[in-house]
Amino acid sequence: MSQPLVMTTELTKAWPTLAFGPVSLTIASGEIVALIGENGAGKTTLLNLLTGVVQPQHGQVSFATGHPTFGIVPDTCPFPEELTAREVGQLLATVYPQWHLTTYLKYLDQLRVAATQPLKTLSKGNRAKVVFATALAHDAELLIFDEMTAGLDPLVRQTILQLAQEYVQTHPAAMLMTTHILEDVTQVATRALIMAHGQIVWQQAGPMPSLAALRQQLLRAETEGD
Amino acid sequence: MTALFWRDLLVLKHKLQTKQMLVVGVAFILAIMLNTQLTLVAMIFIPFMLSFSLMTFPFSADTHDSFTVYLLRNGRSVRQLVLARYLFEGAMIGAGTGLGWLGISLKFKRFDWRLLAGLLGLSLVYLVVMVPLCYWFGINGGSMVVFLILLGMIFIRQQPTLIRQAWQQVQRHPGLSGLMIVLGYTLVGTVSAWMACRGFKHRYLF
Repeated sequence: MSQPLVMTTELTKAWPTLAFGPVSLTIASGEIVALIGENGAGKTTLLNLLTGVVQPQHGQVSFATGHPTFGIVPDTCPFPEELTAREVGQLLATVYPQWHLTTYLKYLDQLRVAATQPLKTLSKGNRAKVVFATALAHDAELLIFDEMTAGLDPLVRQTILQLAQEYVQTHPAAMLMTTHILEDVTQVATRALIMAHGQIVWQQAGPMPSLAALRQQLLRAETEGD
Repeated sequence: MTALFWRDLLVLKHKLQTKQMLVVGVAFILAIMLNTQLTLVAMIFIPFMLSFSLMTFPFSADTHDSFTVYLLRNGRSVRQLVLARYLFEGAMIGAGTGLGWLGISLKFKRFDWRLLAGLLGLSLVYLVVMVPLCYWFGINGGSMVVFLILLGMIFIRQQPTLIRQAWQQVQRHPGLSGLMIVLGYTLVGTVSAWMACRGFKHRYLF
């Protein structure tokens, strides 16, 4: 395993409907970790704890580089819809110290997104591509995809996942993705985790199991806790 | 902080380019040119509404809140984001108040600086009330404007003597009144900022 990039120890957080944790997780550089589980299992809570939006009740999150740069791709576009993709690029120069506008525009070009159109005139898939391009253009050390491929057509999904995979392989970076699409897990993940009822109940690194075996494992994990 | 400010300015640029803004601008110029009974109302009302409608947009659309969460996830602190909110709202309401005052001054051909200070003071009240409330309850800024204007009108109607007396005191002791106003705003502003931070955490950080 490469150098650990992020480490969580015994994280807990109590919600009215979910007792999250304790969750301990280490992600190393070069890894693509897929987090799967039913709705409300605690996947987004884990992402929010990692990024500091939610504070844990117990445990801690530590990063090898102090506080890493995240490449966050949420399931909805976080940018004002009046802006064009190019203006989003200008805006993010004020957010990230290592912002590469040319790289961002290159990705947009590669993904065939019109940079001069306001986001509100773009399709859901093209808006997702814009957000995705922003994540790869500021030397992010940890890419975080929060169900970002949901609702995208298979070709766009495949292109995005391939580019993300290339990024992780060519940069000192890792990726953590939550998804309900098991094909995405078998396609790119180097490690799969199943969360159920706020805990990691199963994980496998290395070659991914077949789609059928993964589905079976997910079903078992979800029914065991009930 | 810079990011949020830039976001607001970029969105503002687009808002200003919409047809509604063109209509409002033309209406304002026409109101000055025609000089009818409605001119004064239009001169005061239009710039205020213009600035209010522009400055309240960050509270009314989910996409803007998503950007705030995006910034939080990218290491921005609550204090930075709330300060940016105050700065932008302050700049917008300051511009709107200035335009409103300019309208009144042109109408009466008299530039009263004390009136400008009074209007800016009232705008500050609006600012320190609105920001924390919007963060606490996620209230649409436009609704808050209507609510506060109504509240202000009721207060003026119910307590005209109190307002007149206060104004006389200010004229009699301008130095002391100025000091009291500055101290008052510092206190209220501090409480407001504290409430805004608490409200922000309540709304975004759980």
